[in-house]
Amino acid sequence: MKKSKISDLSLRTKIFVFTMMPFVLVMIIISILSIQHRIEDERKLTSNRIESYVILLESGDLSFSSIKQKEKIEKLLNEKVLSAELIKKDRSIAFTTGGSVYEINKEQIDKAFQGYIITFTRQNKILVQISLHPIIVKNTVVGIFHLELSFEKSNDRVRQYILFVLHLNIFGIILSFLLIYFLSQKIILNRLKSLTDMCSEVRRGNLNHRLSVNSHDELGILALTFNDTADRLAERNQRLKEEQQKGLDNIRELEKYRDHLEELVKERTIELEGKTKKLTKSRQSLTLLLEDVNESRAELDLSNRKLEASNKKLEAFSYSVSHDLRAPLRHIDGFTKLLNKNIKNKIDEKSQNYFDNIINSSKQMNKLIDDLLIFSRLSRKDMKKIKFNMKIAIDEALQTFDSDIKENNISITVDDMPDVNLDVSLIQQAWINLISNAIKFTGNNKNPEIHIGTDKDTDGNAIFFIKDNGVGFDQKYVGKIFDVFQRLHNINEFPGTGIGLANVKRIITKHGGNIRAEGKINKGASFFFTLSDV
Amino acid sequence: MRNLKRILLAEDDQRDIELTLAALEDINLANEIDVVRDGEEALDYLFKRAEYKDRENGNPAVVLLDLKMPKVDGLEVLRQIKKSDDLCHIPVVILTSSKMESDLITSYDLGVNAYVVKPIEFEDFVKAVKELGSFWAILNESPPDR
Repeated sequence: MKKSKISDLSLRTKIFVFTMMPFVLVMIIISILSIQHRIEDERKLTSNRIESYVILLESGDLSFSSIKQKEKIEKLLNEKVLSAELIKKDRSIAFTTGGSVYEINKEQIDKAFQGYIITFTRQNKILVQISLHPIIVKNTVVGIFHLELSFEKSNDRVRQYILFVLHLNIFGIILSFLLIYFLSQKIILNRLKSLTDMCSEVRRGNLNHRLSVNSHDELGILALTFNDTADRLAERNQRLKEEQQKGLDNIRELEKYRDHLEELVKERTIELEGKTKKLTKSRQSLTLLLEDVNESRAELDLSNRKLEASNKKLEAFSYSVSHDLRAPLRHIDGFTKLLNKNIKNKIDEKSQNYFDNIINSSKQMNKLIDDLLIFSRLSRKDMKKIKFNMKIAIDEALQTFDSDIKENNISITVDDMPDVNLDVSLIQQAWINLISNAIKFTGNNKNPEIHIGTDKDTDGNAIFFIKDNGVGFDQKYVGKIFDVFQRLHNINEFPGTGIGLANVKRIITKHGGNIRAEGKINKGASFFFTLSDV
Repeated sequence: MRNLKRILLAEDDQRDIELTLAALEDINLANEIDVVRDGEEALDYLFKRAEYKDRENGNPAVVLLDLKMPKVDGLEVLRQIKKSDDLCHIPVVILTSSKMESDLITSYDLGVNAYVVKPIEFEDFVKAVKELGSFWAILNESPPDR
């Protein structure tokens, strides 16, 4: 069972219940009260009529004998009379209708002479009034009017009245029911229904529906509010529609842009494809080029290999040349000396001079072969660089010249040197050539001096130098000094092959270094070189 | 006087032979010197084959070997000597006109005892041959013959 039973009832039922209930209640109460009032009225009226009858008797307008006439009394009292009688002073009954129902005792009669007595009883459920009225004539009580009266007739009247009231009530209820029904229908329910209908319409999206407002009661105000809300909704809807339209327009514009973009993309794609094609073409040509390059590289490799092969051949050639040149040279030298030894005592000075010339020439040729071999070897030989102290390399080279230095009384100073990355045999060869150069060109000096030292350039790299106080050279020929077979001095004065300094330059260049020379005639020569320390 | 061992000189160039002999003469070497003109002859001598089949004397005190020779070159002769159980202890000195590194390395790989480049100047050459002769033929004690 649900608790909110009443609230679940329909509005109409509620209206009925809450309006009819008090109405019916009030009707019933009023009916009961009016019936009661009517009953009292009846009683009062009857007792008034009895009073009036008694007064008529006392005044003599009615004779006492009329008491016998029951119908007459009933007519006057408008009530059913059971019995009526007149009791005299002597307690005898003067006139009677006969048929007294209830016994009256003496005391009651005595009391009645004093004043009005009334008692009630019931006969067959109908109220019966027994009254004793003193009849006073000229201030004397002449007798007692004893009346027994049944309220049959007034009861009937009251009953009729109740019936009437009942009918009236039923009529009223029906009327009010109909009234409430129709009025609620008209005033509330119909309008509520139209409101509900409109709600449904609104829900369905129809915002053009409006309520007709005939009154300005609450429902009217509600309808107005509702209309207003609908107006606003419609307005907002309109705005929304407009905005939607705008959105759609935007979308359409976007679509236009998109279409345009697609076109643009297509254009670009075509452009790009063109470029790609070009690129592919260039790539193809690049590939071709690469193939060409590869081909060229292969060719280069081939020529390199050929070159290597020819280098090897050249090497072999050089050695066989050196071997084949050396052997006859050695023979010339050997046999010349043997011959010279054998006939030394038998020849003159001039002949001996010829022998010396032959021997010197072979010596010079030997030197030339040596230098040429070194020169050709330099271009092929792979370097093996190690960290090596330069002073040790110089000292080793100087050992070759021990006898020369002593013989010529040369003063040689060698400074301390740093460790350098170098190929020991090559650098020693370079020093040998430089030192032999210095010794050779200081030959005419009485106090020959050679200084081997080191310095640093602006970048902090080591510079090595050898300075002598020999014949020097003219600085304007400095460009030729490192060229092969270039000589700046007469071969008879200073014998040489013209290869020594060229070899030095080759060695220094091979080490990633530079060499330069400074000279002044008769003021000595200086050679400076650097090595790349890698 | 003890029976001195011989010196074997393998040299194809007649002038070199003469100069070498002149140099050796110079030091008054008591050892006899046998000369062969090519590698094949050198091997025949050492292994007592062909014309040296009936050679009576034993192994030489030292072999002075030129590298460039006809028929069989010096390196091959060296290889044969060092391979042979009978000959491997004979000291072998390479006497050559020029220093070629590959020859030098191969020679030492094969077990050569010395490698000498003939000096061009006669004095130096004489000095070198003298020293070689006096060292290998006089100072050095050869291994006993088998």
